[in-house]
Formats: sequence, structure tokens, C-alpha cells
Amino acid sequence: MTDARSDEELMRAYVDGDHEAFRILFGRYAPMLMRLTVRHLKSEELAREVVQQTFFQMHAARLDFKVDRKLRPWVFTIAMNLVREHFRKKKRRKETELEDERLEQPASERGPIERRQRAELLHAAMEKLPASQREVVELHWFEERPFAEVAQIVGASEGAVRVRAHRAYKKLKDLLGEELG
Amino acid sequence: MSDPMHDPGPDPELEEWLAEAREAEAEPQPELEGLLESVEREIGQAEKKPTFWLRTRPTWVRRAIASGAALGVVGLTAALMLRADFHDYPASYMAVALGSLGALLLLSVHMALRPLHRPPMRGAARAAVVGLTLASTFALALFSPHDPGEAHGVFDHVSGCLFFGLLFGVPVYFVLRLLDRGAQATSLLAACAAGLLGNLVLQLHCPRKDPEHLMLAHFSVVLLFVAGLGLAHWLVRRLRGQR
Repeated sequence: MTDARSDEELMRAYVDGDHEAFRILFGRYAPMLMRLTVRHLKSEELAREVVQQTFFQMHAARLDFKVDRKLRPWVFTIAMNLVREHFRKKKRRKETELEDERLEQPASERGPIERRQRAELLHAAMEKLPASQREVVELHWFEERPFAEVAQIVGASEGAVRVRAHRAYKKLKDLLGEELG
Repeated sequence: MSDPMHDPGPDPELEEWLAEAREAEAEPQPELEGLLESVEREIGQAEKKPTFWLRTRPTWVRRAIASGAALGVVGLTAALMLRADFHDYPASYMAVALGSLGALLLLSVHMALRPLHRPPMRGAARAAVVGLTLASTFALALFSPHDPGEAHGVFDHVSGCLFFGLLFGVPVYFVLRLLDRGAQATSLLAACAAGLLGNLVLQLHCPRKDPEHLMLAHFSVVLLFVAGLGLAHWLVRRLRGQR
């Protein structure tokens, strides 16, 4: 599925009826969207549903795509809205007791922290961030999107997004204080 | 940590943790086999339904359809069922009533059909529209330019106006639901739009001006749409949650 065309060119081709362009876009975006949604939903099955819905909504909204816009924030916004909708329906995110216990344990009771465990601790701490801060960290740090694009996706100014990131990192540091030493 | 506007990034220790977490999750690639087929199957099934064609129209077209349907109902009422005292009714009050109800109706339609590729509307914005809908219809009923000498039974024609208002509000509710692609709070905003349309129609048709009637038979149309549908959705959620 290699194609030299840009995402936007492919989307334009798809809007004009080129179904192969949709398949190529799927190949490019599905892995990114799975990573993003698995991180939020903590379930590959739920993430698959949200990714499926994202592409379905992308198809339904294809005539809304403006030719001068970037596709990535457009698609990511749909995915993030679907994730938010999932949590809105669920009312609140479930935090596992295990994760809470891990965070509350004093460092002296734990053995050497493995890389994977540290990643889990970090994700558990991220669960404690307000949703508006967490999504900024996830998009900026984990998806490596620039602040300007994150701002487009979450619907805030770049300045507000930078402040959210700053607060999020500060809170993460506080939450992981003992482990960070 | 430094100035968030210039460098909102994590400090080196936290950065190390974040980098490890990013690497750790990059290792397992999610299983995507069959997902494209599922997407294409879902799209194929949806495209068999005529309503899906409507939902896939550009957002400005969907908004124009819903606004046009609402304005069509208002236009038909004005043309065929205009209140007998229309020309004697205070023009300024009529202008304020039609202007505020119409503007809020168009705003509700606009917000209800917000596309999913736009960041979500703030909850405060939705609450403001609902609050303004209730407050404006309440105020229009309360401060109606009535003649204190008018003798009417308080409960006369209440059921007729209520029925009429609800009946004329329902089409815009269903048109909005039909055009909805799954945006947040469409139902609540559609209920506002339906209540506002019901009130617009009653404002143009019903010759009663006493606040008691307007409260019981006109304002309650909005209240029934917003509170009634809110209650229905809450009940549905509760029932689904129990399963």
C-alpha cells in the first residue's frame, strides 16, 4: 500500500470516488488511531470499535473535508470525540484498584522497577490527570504531534494547550514523586 | 519547570519515564487484520439506508435542511393560520418574540448538527442554549402585553395549545435526529429546537395574551420537550445500565 500521494491528496481522491485511496488512508491511519485509542480505552477490543467508527464517520463526513485543511487533525479530532463520547456514556473512567495501590505503595516496598512497570506506573499516574491535560500529553508526547496541531484537535488555543501540558507534567511529577526521587 | 509558553515540556527525569513508556508501547503492534473489511461492511450496510445519504451531506446542507424545515413550518403557520389579532398586536413585542425565538431556534439547529470533526462544544455553551431557551420562553409568557380586563378561564384551550405546540415541534426534532451523525447532546438541543418551534407557531397562531395561559400552554411546550426528553433519555440510560 505504498503511494506517493499526501494524505490530503488521497482524501480528495476518495471524496471524488476513489475507493482505493480510502484503503491506503486506512493503512496509514489505522495503526496510529489504534495506538491512540488503546492508550485511552485500555482495551484493544474497544479501541477497534472506536477506530472502526472513526473510519465510518470519516466516510460519512467526507464531503465536509476542506481541500486546504490537513487531514491528520481532522481524523484525530473525530477519534478523540468518539473516545470522549465513550467515556461520557460510561460516565467516568474506571481506575483499577491495582493501579491505585501501586501508586500508593511506598517506594521502599517495591523491588527494582522494570521498564515496563515504570511505563505502567506512568500510565496509572496519567489516569489521574484531568482529561483535558491527559489528552494533550498523549497527543503531544505519545503521538508526537506539534502543539499547534494538538490545539486544533482539542479545540483550544496553542497557548492554552501549552499551559495544560505544563500543568500535566508538573502533576505527573508530583504523582510520581517518590519513584522519580 | 520553565515558562509554559516557551518550554512546557517535562523535566529530564520525567522525560526519561515518558520516553520509556513511549518505546514500551511502540513494541506490540495492534492487530488490524479484518478491521478494514469490517469498516467497509459497515459503510456498505449504512449506504443501503436512504437516511444515511442525508447524514452524509455536508454540514452546511444538513443545517440548511433542518433550518428550512423549521422555517417552512413557521411560514405555513403565518400563511394559513395567522392569529386573528395579528395586526392589532404590539409590533415591537411580536418582533422581539419572533426574533428571539427564531434566533435561538437557528442556534439550536446549528449546534445540534455540529460535525464530529470539530472539537466538542463546551458544556457551558450547551447549558447556555438550554437556559436561554427556557428563560426566553418563560419571559415572553410572563411579560406578554395583555389587557388585565381580558376575562378568560385560566385552563381554557390549554390542552389545545399544548397539543398544537407539541405537534408542530415534533417535525424539527425528528429532522434533526435524522440528520445527526452522532454528535454530542444532539437530542437535548433538538428538544430545545422543537420547543422553540412549537412556541413560534403558537406565537403566530394563538390569540391569547394572558400570562397564565402562556405559561401553562406555551412555555410548557418547551418544558415538556426539554424535561420530557431529558427524562426519557435518563430512563433509557438507566435501563441499559441495568442490563
